[in-house]
Amino acid sequence: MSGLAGYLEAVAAGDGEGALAVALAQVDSGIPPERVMCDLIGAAQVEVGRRWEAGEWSVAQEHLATGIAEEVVAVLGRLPSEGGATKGKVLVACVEGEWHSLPARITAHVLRRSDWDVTFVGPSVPADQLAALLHDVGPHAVAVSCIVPANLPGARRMIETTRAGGTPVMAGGSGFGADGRWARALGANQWAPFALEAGGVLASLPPVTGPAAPIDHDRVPEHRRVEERRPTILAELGRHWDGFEVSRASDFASWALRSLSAALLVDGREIFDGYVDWLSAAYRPRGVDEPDIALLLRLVAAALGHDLPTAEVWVREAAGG
Amino acid sequence: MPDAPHPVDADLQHVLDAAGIGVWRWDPHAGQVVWDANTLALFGVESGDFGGDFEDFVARIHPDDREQTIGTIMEAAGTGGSFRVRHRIVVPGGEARWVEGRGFVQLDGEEMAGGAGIVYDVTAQQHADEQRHELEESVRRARDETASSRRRLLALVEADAALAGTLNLERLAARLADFVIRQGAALAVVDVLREEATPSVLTVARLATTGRETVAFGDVASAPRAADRIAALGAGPLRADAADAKWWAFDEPGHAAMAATTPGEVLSLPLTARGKTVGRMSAVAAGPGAWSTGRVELLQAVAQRAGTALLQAELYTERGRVAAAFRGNLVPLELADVPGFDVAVEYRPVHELANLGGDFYDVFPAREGRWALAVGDVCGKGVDAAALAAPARHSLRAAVLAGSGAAAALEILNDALLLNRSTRFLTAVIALLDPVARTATIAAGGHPAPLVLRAGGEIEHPDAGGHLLGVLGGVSFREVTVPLEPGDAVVTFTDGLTEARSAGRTFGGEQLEAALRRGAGLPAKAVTESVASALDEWAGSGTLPDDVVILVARAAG
Repeated sequence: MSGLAGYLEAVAAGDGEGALAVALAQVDSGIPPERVMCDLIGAAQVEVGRRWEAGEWSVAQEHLATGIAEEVVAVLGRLPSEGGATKGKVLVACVEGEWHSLPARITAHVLRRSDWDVTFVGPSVPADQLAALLHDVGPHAVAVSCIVPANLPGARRMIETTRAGGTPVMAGGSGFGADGRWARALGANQWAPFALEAGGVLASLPPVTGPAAPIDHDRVPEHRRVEERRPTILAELGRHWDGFEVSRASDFASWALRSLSAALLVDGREIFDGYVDWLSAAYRPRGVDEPDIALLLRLVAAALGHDLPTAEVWVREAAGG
Repeated sequence: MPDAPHPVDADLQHVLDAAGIGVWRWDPHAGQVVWDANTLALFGVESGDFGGDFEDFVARIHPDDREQTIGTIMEAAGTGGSFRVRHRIVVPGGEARWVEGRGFVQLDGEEMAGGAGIVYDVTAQQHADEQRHELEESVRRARDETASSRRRLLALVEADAALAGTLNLERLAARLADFVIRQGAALAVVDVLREEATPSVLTVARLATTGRETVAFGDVASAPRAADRIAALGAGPLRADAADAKWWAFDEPGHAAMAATTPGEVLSLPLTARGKTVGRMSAVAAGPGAWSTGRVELLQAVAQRAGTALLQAELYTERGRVAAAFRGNLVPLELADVPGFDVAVEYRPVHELANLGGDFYDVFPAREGRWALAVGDVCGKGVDAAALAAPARHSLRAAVLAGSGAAAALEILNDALLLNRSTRFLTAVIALLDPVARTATIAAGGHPAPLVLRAGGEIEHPDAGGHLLGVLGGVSFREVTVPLEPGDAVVTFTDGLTEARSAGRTFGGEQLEAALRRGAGLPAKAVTESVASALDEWAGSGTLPDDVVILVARAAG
């Protein structure tokens, strides 16, 4: 049985000890711990996500799997490594709203094992908390992780805050797009596609950077309006949930608006369309079919108001007109 | 006496007289030059004194202008055609006079056949031209100076922004070094003097344009060289040729080689604040005389500002240490593993000013295998609130460790607070978890009562209200014991959560319960995350005005 299959089997059975044993066996066979984190645990989490999306696993199973993965990664991270924290200080933080912290945790461990002095800040770090940490810690660089593109506005706030103090930013995570395009659009100095490459990318950053260039395109005013009004739009939508399961519908609306806001910020409609596609795929096995989603999207379009023309078109077209 | 040249007519002669224009003719065959009365007057010559030949004319040209003037005329004489000259003439009596001459030379085949021309006084015009030229020069110089002082001003603004942008000592030094590099230095080093620390001088930033080995912060290894530098230079500025400056104490690996191959000039300035030297900013620019006066003045101005900024950064660091010491007393460093329970917390202190709030929480073992969860909130914010929160947390601990139940622990805390005679009061909640009996015993004083989140999603509100703590003596508290099934969770929180306000809206119990239901049956961490993300969603891009604590203990299932 391959390591991955064995690990997944242990995780499926809720057997944390068994999962850890698989990981440690790989280390014993000579694979460096950081490789086990990326190639075993990281790959397993992708499969866990797929199983949840396909309706094979419940939310509880997914949470259990993530909990086990975090513990295994923490144990691997504590294995002794050579050298020390000689390459400089780096803060690793998930952008505000980002609760998928495992990739950032793995990156933090990988960097620590390659002699960086790492402070892992945690999931969903608000920009003002980061600002305080920048003064307190004074890192050479900040590594920001964004997994879900809907959290890109939080990434922008983080990048702005960091660069305003002259500190360069490395972006990582699938939320920045497969080729990292949103990382550059939002003002990150560099983008690292994988945790194992993060160290090399960090070393290439300038010691001091200038402020992030302002984002200036036609969609920006609509993005700002959506950000400002998101709570009121959600409250308004809350009155129309008759016939829907309320917590699921408000969850949907919340992520739809966040995806829309992110899409407007970077003028990347595919972010919103991608959310709708993902939603359809993930909810089909859970008994929510496409007419339901189309209806929800039309409700969102109607709640947007008249000064969000692009947003309205995007939402209506995603609903099928 | 040679014949006067013959103007075409008398009217024209009058015009020429009025304009002061002299007329001359030249007959190369006869070797004769004829000047009219106006020309003679212009050259200050009596008609009898003029020699009447080209040589005499040449002799009257100012020696400095002679060569160029003759050259121009001879060039025209070689090809035939017109010429134009402007030159000074030597007037008897010594007066300087500028004249302009225009004429032509006729050729017969390749031979000169004759020439004629006019000459007039341009002294006034020449002076005006010279003055205009001078004026233009000074305008150009002024413009250059304006441009360079504008550049210097922009550089100062940039430096100010760099110095104001961070309160962290190391980042400040890095930005300072980066600024110096952008002013043309090949190497920049910032040393900082530290009181009562070892080593007492530290190179905090070192940037070089070559090699990109570039940054070393807080470099203990180079401290002896930094100390040499400070000792050798004292509190004064230094400007010297890099080759003869001994203080290649700068001498990090690689820099000595750079010094050997690149001639350069060293500039080293003290960083002072409140009259004390707090550090040194040193730089090497490639090339002799590389530091222009303007650059040096600019860097001096920046060094002055940097000293103050450095001092502020040190004060901020000190403040950070104080805040961290306080914070360490408000919350446990790490959540303990509670047998039979899965515990998670979300703690969001307000991030402003002292970065301290009045919320505290605790998870610790009580007697007889039980465990305590405690959450409290001192009214107010900042150091004052934190200063009361820390002993309150420890009073609760002591009471529980001494064997008090939940309600009794709150009574003891209340009495302890009254002994303080403090004008501040606080709210607190305590839950004693019993992993064997699978129960939670809960008491609250002026604090939102904990909620019980059942594995199936039902939410219960145990009746555990009580007085604010630290206001009245002799009050007693009510405690409730709730049974817990596997997967049930006790949720404690501070009112920073349920009274969080943003844009006139409140994150109320309804939102909290909706978020909790999403986490029903999930690990404690999923419950805290569900609440925290709902809170973020609700707050939008605004910030929370008060500390928030959500502490969840879920019975293992």
